Amino acid sequence: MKNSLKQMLRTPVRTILFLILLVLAAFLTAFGANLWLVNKKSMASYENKFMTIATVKQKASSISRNLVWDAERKEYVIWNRSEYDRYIPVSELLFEGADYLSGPEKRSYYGSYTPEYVHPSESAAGTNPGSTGVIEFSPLEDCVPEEAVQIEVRKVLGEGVSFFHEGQKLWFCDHENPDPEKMYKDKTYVAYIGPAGMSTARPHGAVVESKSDTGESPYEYSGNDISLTLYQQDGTAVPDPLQVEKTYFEVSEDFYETEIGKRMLSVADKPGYMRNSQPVTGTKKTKLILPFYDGTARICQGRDISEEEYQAGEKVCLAPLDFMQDNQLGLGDAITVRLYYTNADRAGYVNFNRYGGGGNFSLTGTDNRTLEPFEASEYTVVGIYDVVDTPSLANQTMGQGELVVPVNSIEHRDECNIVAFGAMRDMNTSFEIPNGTIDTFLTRWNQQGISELEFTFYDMGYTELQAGLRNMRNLSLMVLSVGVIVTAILILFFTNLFITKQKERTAIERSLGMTKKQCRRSLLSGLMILIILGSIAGSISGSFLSRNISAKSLDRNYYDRSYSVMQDVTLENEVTESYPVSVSVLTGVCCAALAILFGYWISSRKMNRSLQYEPMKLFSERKEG
Amino acid sequence: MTKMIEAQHVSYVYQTKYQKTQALKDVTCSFEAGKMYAIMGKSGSGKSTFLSLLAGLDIPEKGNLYIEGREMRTIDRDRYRMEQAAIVYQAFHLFPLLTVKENVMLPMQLKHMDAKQTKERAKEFLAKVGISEEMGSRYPGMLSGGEQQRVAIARAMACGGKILLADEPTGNLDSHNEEVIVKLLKKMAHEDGYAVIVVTHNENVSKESDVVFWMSDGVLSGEESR
Repeated sequence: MKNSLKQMLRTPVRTILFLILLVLAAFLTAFGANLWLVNKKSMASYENKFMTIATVKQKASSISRNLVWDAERKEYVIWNRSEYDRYIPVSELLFEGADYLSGPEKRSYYGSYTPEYVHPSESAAGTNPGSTGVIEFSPLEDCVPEEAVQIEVRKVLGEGVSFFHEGQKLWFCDHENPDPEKMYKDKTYVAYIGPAGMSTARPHGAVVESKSDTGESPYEYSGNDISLTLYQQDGTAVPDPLQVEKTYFEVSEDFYETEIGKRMLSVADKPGYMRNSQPVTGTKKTKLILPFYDGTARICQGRDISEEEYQAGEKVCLAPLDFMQDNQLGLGDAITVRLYYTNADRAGYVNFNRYGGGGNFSLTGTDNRTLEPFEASEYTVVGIYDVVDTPSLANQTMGQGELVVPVNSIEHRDECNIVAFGAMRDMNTSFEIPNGTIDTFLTRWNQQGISELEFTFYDMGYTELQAGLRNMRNLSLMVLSVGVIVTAILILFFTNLFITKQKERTAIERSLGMTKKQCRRSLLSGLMILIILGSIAGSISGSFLSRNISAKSLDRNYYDRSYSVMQDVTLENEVTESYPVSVSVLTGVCCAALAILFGYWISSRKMNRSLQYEPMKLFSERKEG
Repeated sequence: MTKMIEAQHVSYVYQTKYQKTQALKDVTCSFEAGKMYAIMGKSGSGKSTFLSLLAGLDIPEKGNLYIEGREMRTIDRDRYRMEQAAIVYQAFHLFPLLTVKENVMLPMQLKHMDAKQTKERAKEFLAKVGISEEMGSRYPGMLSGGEQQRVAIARAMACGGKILLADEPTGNLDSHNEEVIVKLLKKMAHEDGYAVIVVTHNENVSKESDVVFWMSDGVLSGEESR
């Protein structure tokens, strides 16, 4: 070995060149391999941390222009309204090639009537001037309410409205009626009143000062429609047996015996019902609800509903923190859910917000009585969530007191007491697809030829991140390939120089009596020392550099920019992830070991070939040649 | 005189993928210590093949070779080359990256001789062939052809055996160096008791040899003692 090394060191240029090139090649191999592995691990880790969902919105087929009388302007104004030729059922999203992980689902929310609980919206309900309620009233003067006239509240019907009270003076106008009936001061009328929303809600035709401290409202009120809003499962409206064309009615002696009177009594119950109700949303996965997806709503105690519970339709729920605190409930407690209406148009937060429960739908059935519960169950609270007071990606939030339950746990879902029905909206329709498949999904969807649906994808920046990771993977594969190829070429070339071209040396050694084993050792020892040194040095430096680069490039902030519907992504919406960089020492060791083994294998093969030449033959061939 | 090597009816066939070549046919002869032998013949007559068999680099297809009475097939042929027979080539075949002295030391190092003794002996052998100590520290490429061949002979001496096989040792040398080398080989035979076997085309070498064998087409066609 000593002579072998001595001879190798006496060709320093060749030896050093081989060593340097081998270090570089091993460096590239280890660097590429480490980056590739880190990249692969990162991609797998992101797959678990990221989630891609889409919300779906049906575009209107046309816009209808409705003429509505504006009492203040004394003219008809145009109100635009979206019209749909048909409501596209969610089943049309189930096309061939759609690779859904969850959904698609069009979520209804259900009204649960539970007067036994304290509801977060309860304190707010009916206390503000924007409240609605059924009141009996008389005008202060005989008048035609074609502009704001003063009325005095005689009686408040129903419960749940604390703003209106007997003797209260209000401004009233039959705002949308171009030809209102005359009212007399000695007669009593009844109406389902609410703030006139068409203009600025201020009484027109009179100068009014706000006297909220004395209970006088600065608002102008008008009578609301008391027609039924009931739908069948396919979205067809149930015809109202009463053709109600007026908004206020004279209260005669037997008025409440009439169908209109009964309807009015039922409508009067609505505020009380809403005040004692909470929305219940059925879903297939919690994160299909946008506030949960983007972190506006977070589970602060307990856990999420599991996939198995969702599948099996277990009677478990997620409940909001304020509701649980108000009712002194905790994890594992049961909540009574008494479903009495289905809203297949909006999400819970639209009708259950900080101003109380409301909504432009009726709770009255065709029998002119308030809807009866169609399903009652006890739901166990497995998780308590809290809502961050910041706007979510699509300005969506959770309704006051809203419970989230597995949709499969609702036996009569989308079947009974449907009080509102609408097209798919961002707030109620969503699905989950595998990360990084947005383009594939859209390509396949476009082949379906349905153009009325609009998708908004949310992936928390995965697409952008994936592109970066793919570039990194391609780069690392390229570096790895170059490293492997260069290492192989170097070893092949230099073993040729150090072994094949040294046939003569081997022949001399053989003729001096060295055994084949000794000849092999003599020639290979020096070469293998170089290969070992070069491979180890290159692999260590490659691993070291890839560790540094990985640490810098993967420890970043990612947030949804590509598919966010919000232009200004606030700090709260950023998803900050710090991924552990795990450049394994083993990778470098493996790269070095592979290079060494390859070097040994090639050298041995070449050495064996050289040893096949008998010295005399070799020398005599040369001599005679 | 002691018979160092004896060949009895030795035949050898080169077998390639496509053909067989009868390189030696029924060769019978013997070599004694203290004599210089020349094996002469045209190219391809089988003389180098015969030398290769004498060096134990291969074994005869038929017949037997005896080394000091022991059949070649029964002995460790690597050890035989290391301890008994040394080879000198036409093209010297020294290790170009070892110094002259290191080249001569190598056979002794292979036998794990003491380092100090190895150095001393190498110096002695080099002196015997007329290579100075200063030249000993040079690389072979820095020496003339005759000097390199002398170094090769010194390396052969360092093997420690008494059989010297030389394959055209003067083939690359001028007449002066040829003369020096032939004298050296003759001296080794006559004074040091080596059995020197030289394969050569050179008439001058054969003239200086004690016995000349003639080979033609693998057959020993004549023998002449001088």
